[in-house]
Amino acid sequence: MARTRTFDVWTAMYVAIFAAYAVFLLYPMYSILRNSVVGENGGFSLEWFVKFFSAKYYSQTLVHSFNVTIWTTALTLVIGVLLSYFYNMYEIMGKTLFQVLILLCSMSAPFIGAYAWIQLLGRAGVVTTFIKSATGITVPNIYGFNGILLALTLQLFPLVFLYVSGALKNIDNSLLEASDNLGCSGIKRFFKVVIPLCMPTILAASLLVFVRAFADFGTPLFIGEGYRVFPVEIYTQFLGETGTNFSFAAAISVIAIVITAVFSLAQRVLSKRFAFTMNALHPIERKRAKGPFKVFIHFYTYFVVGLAFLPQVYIVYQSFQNTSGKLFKRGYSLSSYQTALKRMSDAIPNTFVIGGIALVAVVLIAIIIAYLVVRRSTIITSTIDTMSMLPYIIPGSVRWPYCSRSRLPSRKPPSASEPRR
Amino acid sequence: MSVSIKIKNAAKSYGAATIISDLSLEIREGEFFTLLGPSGCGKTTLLRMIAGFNTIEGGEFYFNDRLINMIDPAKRNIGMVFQNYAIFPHLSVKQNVAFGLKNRKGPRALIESETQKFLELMKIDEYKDRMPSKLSGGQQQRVVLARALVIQPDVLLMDEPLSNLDAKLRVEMRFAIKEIQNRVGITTVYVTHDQEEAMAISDRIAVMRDGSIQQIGKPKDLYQRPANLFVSAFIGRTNLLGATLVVDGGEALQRFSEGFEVGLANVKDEFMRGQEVIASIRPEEFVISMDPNAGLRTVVDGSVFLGLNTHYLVRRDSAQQLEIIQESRIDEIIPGNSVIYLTVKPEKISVFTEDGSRNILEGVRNDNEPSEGA
Repeated sequence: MARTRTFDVWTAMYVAIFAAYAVFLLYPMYSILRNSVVGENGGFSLEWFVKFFSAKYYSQTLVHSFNVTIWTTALTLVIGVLLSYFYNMYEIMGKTLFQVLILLCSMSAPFIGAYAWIQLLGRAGVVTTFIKSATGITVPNIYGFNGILLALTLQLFPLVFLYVSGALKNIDNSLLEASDNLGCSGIKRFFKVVIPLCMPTILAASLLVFVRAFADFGTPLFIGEGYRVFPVEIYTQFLGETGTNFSFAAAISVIAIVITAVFSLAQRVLSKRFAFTMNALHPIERKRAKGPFKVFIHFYTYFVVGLAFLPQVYIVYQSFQNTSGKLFKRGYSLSSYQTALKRMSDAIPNTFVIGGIALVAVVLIAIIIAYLVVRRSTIITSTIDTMSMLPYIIPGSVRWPYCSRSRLPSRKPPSASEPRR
Repeated sequence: MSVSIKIKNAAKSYGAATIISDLSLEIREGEFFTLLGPSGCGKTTLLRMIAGFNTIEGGEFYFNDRLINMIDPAKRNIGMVFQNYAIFPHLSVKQNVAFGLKNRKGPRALIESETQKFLELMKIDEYKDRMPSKLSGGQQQRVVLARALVIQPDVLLMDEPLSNLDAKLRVEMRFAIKEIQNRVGITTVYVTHDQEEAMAISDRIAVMRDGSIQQIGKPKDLYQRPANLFVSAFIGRTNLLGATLVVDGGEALQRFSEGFEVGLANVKDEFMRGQEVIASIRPEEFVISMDPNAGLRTVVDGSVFLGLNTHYLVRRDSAQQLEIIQESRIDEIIPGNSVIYLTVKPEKISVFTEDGSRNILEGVRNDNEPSEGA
């Protein structure tokens, strides 16, 4: 009796989850696909795809996006892997504060970094004007590719750091000792043992960074100027001020989905190749570094984290400055906070209420899906499992307009890549 | 090329906790030497000091005449087998075995042939292209052994290598390890807490407790003439009985509370005086008798028939339980509650000072105290 009843409950769960997926995932995907192949005359046509790839004006955005994404992924990997290696292998002074700062960096809103960098290094930026007046040297242009790369890298490397730190904690100390013992230590050990052991995680982190960098449009919107990238183009086509074209936007979205899907598939295949199991009986013990190397790792960690945290600090600093209209004035006060509280009386509680509800929903749904997939392995559950991966391959700027059917005025950019964890 | 290992006055502490203080030890060339002791006795710490994974805070470590204190672990030319194998999970069996050779940058053909040689020696040739996760525990053990030996180390160090295996495989691997060590003839330091394993595998054993060595000797010496009470109780099973040593005109005998007496012909001169002692009598050193005048009166509590031997659990008048092992006999097993009388094989038992620190009998061989060696 009891068995039949639990069976009914779980069947209801399947149905509910499928329904939710159908409404929130499959239908939007379907409507994007359908829109993308509807021609100007209303019939089936691939003309939007042809238009995109044949006009350099459009297809160039794809090249730009790849440029930004690949460089960002490579740079975040180098910076993040090195940082987590130093942090987990050696004693770093002030490591507790350090981890808090990195966590804060990884949680900041996407475009705040870009905004702060403009304030610091832009044409009228604090640092730019200071250097100009002090030395007469003009600081290289922050706008365009360089700026996007800087802002995205500093914003995304904490992800790599957190992921790889997790992987390093999984390495048994005796593996490193065995390597030392067999004549492979130092840098050689880093490349021959440590990196391969972290490879599955590094691949997962790369994909995450790749998708985030590819989908991010707040940062290029602010700092990109003439350097037009793909997500910005999608956004303009859906909601731009110069007349929107849903079919064309849908076609671009399909291209974006295909690209991220290809990369996540590649990551899955590669991860399988590198997959192995480890269990750390004795986790790595942090060692004391000596001499110049000690100086170097401290300089490196402090510099990277300091640089990444700089935008936050500068924004906080600005929040206390007096303002007049849109200009900053001399002197400090809490007036900006008063204005913010007054104008955003709804926004702030909304953020917490909506976020809180979403959190509860996410945890509940995730637990149920995980239980179904692991404990009641059937064709249905494995389909659910596969479908659960879909959100990862749909860039935020694609998802957003379709999930919210109401068209908001485009003054405030929607958060293109809200953290997906 | 094998070496001898000499350790002089080694010391190690973690913060305020002293793990090892003033430990000296000599391991002979080509010897299978075991550090045996309960967990926390410092045996692994000492091994890791030899390997170079733990810093040496005091004392001198020599391979032959070469001081190794400050030599990098990678340059000590040591083969090491870790408790949890430390097999590289991202490399195949063959790549694991070849790892050390590849780091030495020898000619490729030589690396290939040496690797092949040890794959065959350890009988893992057929698995050489497998990943470690596809191997059983015993096979992984063979891989790490091959990986450690292929670099032709001066010393082989093994840290409880069999503790993760099931009982049957453990016994099997003991012989595999012993055989390969014999064949290669390499000085080996082996750490274990399993006294039976240590006895089965070692040329000599150092019994450790609280960071110091209790006795060094051959398995037979440790079992039959333990240097102190700790060694006696740690190696094998034993019954400890308080007794009084009575010396009368050059003759020594020990008297138990029941009035039972055992003459001792081999008490060392320095201990020839009346004193309280502790007798360590192993289960097989008792002789059962039905004659009320013969010995220690006890009552049978129970028995276990194990084929070759029969174990009896008996109770003294003082309520102390004793364990007896007898070769099984063809007549009936002695039933519970029977009264039996025990005598001992006097040449086999050990007798210690009341504090358990010294064996008062002659014939104790302890390489840790060279003056006493026979």
